[in-house]
Amino acid sequence: MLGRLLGGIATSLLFSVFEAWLIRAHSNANISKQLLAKSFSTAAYGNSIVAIIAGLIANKAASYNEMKQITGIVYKGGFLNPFDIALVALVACGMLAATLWDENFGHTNTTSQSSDDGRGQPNWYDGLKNAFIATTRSRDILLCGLISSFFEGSMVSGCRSCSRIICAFLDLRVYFHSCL
Amino acid sequence: METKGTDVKLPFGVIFSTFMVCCMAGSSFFSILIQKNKAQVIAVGVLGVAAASMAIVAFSSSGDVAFAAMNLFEMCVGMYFPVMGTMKGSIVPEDKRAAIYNLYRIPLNFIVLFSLLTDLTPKQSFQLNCGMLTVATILQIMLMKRRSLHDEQEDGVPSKVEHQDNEQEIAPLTNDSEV
Repeated sequence: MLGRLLGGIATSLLFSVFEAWLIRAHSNANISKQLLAKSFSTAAYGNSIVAIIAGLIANKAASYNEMKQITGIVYKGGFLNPFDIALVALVACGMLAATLWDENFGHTNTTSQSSDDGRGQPNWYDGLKNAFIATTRSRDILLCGLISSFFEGSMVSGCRSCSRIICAFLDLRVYFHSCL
Repeated sequence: METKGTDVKLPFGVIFSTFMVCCMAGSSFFSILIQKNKAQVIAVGVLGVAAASMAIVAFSSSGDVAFAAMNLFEMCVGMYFPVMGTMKGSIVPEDKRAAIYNLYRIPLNFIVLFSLLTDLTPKQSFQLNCGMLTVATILQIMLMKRRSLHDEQEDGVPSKVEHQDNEQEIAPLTNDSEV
């Protein structure tokens, strides 16, 4: 359960923070906006290549050895190998990002609209509150959010169902074969 | 994939790799398209083709056609990330960017929960996806019109001739979407 909870938090950060960092780093380096599209395109391209390689490695690793128990609840081998490889990859990625990437906070002004708690520090929920107000006030931002939610939602549920529907089609074909 | 046996093992590795190659093709195709067109216009095309391919999967009777349509959908997915990244980059204000991106995930989570908790057949879930993508296409057309007006205002007051040209460009698109 704890793993699923942390995984959910990580997924949420994955889809928001990297894009925000990239856009800010682009404007810090004074690169033109046209090239931002090219950066995103290259990122998607590299993402697909790494997904293919990762799928091959995970397949090989999962069939490398059988799952055995070490102590009470600790197991190793079998299906757990890809997770261990992912752990190594993520730690390496984190160390590289921490050392090679420049930090930026993405603020342009921090004084507007934040109610502080009496000591001059903004509250922890101010970021989300301001974001929610900005989203509901501006129709462009709201539309953008709905569009991306609809597409990503149908993408996720489509990927879940596509294996089931292809199996269903193949069963249909097998049935016709046995009829003839 | 001809088989007479009763247990059919799908080559999931090959299927997954095919989908990822289509993703790669989609993102390369985007980098060609973005040189001549605006991101909002490309987004309308991406969402429309995605809705059409989901409709094909939902209503097709042959496995080959469904697989080809899934590949087309994966191409749209490959184009989706760069085009949305560029669009969100220009629409969302800089200082609230990460928080707004996180807020965008909330409806997505509701959609995923809905699809997990309700027991839909695969056909029904594809029909639902097609519906959602059609709504997204319509919303994107609205957004595109709003942004083109906004860009005009940023460039300065447009002359009457330019405004008429823009209207003529937008009108055929709405005719197509009504068909």
